[in-house]
Amino acid sequence: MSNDTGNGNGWEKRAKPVLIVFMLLAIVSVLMPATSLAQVDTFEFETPEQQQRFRALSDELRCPMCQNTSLSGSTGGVAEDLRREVHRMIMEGMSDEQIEQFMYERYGDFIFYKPRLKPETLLLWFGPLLFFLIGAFVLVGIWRKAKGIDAQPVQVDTETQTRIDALIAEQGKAGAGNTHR
Amino acid sequence: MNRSLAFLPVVAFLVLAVVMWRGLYLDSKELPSMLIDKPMPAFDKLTVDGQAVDNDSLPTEPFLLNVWGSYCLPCLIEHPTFMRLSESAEIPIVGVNYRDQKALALDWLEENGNPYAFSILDEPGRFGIDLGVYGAPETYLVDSKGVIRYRHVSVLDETVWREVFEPAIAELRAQEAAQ
Amino acid sequence: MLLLVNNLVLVVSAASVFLGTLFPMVYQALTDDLISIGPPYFNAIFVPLMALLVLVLGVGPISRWKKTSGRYLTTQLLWVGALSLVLGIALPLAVTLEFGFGPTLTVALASWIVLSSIKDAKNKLGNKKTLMAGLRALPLSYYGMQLAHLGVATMVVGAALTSVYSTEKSVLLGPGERMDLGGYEFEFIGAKPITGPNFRGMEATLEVYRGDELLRELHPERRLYLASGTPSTEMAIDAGFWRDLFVTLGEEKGASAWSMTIYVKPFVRWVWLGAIFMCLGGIVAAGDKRYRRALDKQAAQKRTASIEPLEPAEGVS
Repeated sequence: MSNDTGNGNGWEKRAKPVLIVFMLLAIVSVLMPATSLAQVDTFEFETPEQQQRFRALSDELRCPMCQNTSLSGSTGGVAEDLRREVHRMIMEGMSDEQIEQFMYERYGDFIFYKPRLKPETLLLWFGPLLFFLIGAFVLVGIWRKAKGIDAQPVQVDTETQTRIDALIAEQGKAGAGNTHR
Repeated sequence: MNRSLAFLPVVAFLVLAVVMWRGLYLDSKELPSMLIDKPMPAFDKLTVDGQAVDNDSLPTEPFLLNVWGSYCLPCLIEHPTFMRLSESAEIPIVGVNYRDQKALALDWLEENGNPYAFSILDEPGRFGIDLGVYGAPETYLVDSKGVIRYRHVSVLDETVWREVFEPAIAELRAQEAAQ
Repeated sequence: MLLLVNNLVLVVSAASVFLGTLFPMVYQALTDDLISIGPPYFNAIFVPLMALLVLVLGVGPISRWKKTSGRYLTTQLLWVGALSLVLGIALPLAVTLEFGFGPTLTVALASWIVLSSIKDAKNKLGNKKTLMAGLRALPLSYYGMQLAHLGVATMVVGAALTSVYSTEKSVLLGPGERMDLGGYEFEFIGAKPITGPNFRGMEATLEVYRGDELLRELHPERRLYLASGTPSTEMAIDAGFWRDLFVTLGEEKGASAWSMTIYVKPFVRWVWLGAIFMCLGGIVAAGDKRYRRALDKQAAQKRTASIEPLEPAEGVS
């Protein structure tokens, strides 16, 4: 505790108000009521799996006319109709793939928040893995350098090499068992 | 690390700036239609006047399919263009009364004029979904075989007619005459 | 060296988000077609990366800065890992009587952080005379780090468990009708008109029961703002440490029956709590003396520079 200069040169003075403001903001943001415009549909389902599928699909399908909302979050006209269609198709026993195909035929790729895997989206889906591999490669390179694995042995000419050999021979005679490494 | 690598972030930034700048002009809210060069969806419905119509009722020459509603202000704005086209018999126009109420739709037609050969009544919007409609007004150009050739989203005013539809229709008619 | 792995994960995460954000624009430029990228994509990429980050988080504090052998790490953390797995399997099973891969992974990862922190603290406190001496010897930056890591664990639990265990149901309820959800019962009492300074609306009352015990009343509203004619919903929220309850009001249908959506969201507050811990951890760590030494040194230099040199006394060289 030798370097302690006491008042820390005004650090606490600057930090305290910031800290208080921050705490207030954190508390207030947690307490504020939420306003939303979500539409409430009352669809009936026969099984909980169906309801879950409905929720999953309406979260993953995008509303075609809204800025950037899923079917579940949107109050727009088309979104309402599409939710109704999803419900109808689930009740008729269509699979998720069939429902997605139905949507694709009418609205295209735009309506999927999860981009379908096709040649054009390969870079999208494998990009992160590619980034990771490149990064890992770089890291391994740094690691190897730090360990000196790829270090080149120092090149010396024959005269210097003879002197080095002679010195080592002397060392060996003088202190057998006196190795540092 | 040699000097040239130090310029990499600058180059990356410039490339990104160009991409984003182009992106500003690209950003269209307009979805491309999935039904281009595909046949009109099958339908079997009533018109706003109560007549039964289906795909066979469609005109056998190139026509416009206009999605409209009495609640839709842009539809009112483009309405004079359709009235002109209908009065000059330039091209048949079939309407789709989308997510509307029959009584309100009939009042609207009475008040503003009816350019449509007939208007399919689509109160729940189901037919609209089959067409890939996402909001009125939308207008489709359909050929004589019932194949959708083009979709225009939003107001079809005289400028759009002149610059987009007129040439497209002329070309379509020429193609069909040649067959 | 190992500590660079967390840099790798964070950079890859940032690069992936960047890729996902720009890709639709580039796609449109190249193919003239539109594509959407949303939460399903970002979750698929982000979650595994964050899981990896959490794993490294447990190893980091225990590693020595420059060189740490694999064997040393294994002996330190073997029991931590095993115990984390056990907790991951046991806790969700005990509470929900069901096995789920998501909850198990989440609890295991969170336990991994907490247990490895405790192990590391034990190591660091182990060679001091008393616990108090040990605690005082640890620098603020260490406490900050532990607090921040605890925040990560809390947030992981909150985010992951709430997405697995949240339930919601949309129903039409008439006065006196009840609905069961997530272990609670919601009874719709009725709705009455209300007026505010700039709006008109309807306020509904729901009673929330757990078993036979009345917990509280919720008052969701449906408002119409007069100036703009915009309708809006005021969600009723019962915030709790272990779960939040929400109700949003839909519309009146028929004889004073209302459509409404009821949500039970376990652990959702932990997301915010985790974030608060992380912030506090950062602030506490920033208070560590080592960050002030440079400032202190500068200040000390300034002070000595401003002192007038004394005249040497006679006879002193």
